[in-house]
Amino acid sequence: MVQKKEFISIGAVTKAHGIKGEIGVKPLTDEPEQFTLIKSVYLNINNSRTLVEVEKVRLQQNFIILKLAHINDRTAAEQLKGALIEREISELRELEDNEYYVFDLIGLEVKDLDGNLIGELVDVMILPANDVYVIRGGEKEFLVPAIQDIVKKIDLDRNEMLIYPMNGLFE
Amino acid sequence: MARSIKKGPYIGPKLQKRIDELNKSNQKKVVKTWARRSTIPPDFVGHTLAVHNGNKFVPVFIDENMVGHKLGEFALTRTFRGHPTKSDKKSRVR
Repeated sequence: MVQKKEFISIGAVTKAHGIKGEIGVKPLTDEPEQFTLIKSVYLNINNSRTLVEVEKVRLQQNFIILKLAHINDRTAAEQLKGALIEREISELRELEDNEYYVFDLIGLEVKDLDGNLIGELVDVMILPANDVYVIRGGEKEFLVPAIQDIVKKIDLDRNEMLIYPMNGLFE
Repeated sequence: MARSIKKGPYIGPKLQKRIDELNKSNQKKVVKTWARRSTIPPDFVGHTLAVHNGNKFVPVFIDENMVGHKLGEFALTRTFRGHPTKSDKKSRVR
């Protein structure tokens, strides 16, 4: 479910880099390559956002060096430390089938195939084998694997997820 | 030092027994296990095991790429909660 003028963070400014106003950014995204395609980003400093043009991008191992417009010396770059680099949610790419943004999933009502409410999806654990959805129903918490045998349908418009409660899943 | 080839891989005997029963009856069930050190043999493929991570049972769906690895590799014991900002992390239903 994509809404207008909502923002997501794709990086956090951790340091100034060099003396020409470049900044070091720690990526908070699965796809750091997207920095090379972006022409402008929102700079979030203490919850006030400004749209800034990106002049130059360099990808390092686990780091990104950005040169933003109007930031031309180290002093100005150092003042950005702690700021978040954000994009509008509406600019995010469409995902493939069976792929969902985590922020869309959180808050879904989880029901069994008969429509009985099991709980609310409160967290997504990204694990090596399969993702795991954390579902809170009353005081209990259930872990449900994100596999097609169990997760039968995700309907973001109706804000619900239908699961097949496989034998042993809620024990 | 690696485990002796003569002995073969270690597979939790109780777990192996329960999976054999499920395979015989052609059933699917989430099987709870603490046997994190157990190697994954080919007959586990397609089953979902709830592997204990010291706190909870993490459901792990076994596929063919996981054969030969240990169960504990797929149920991490430490959770990095990450940065508390809304990010573009994705989840895939496999």
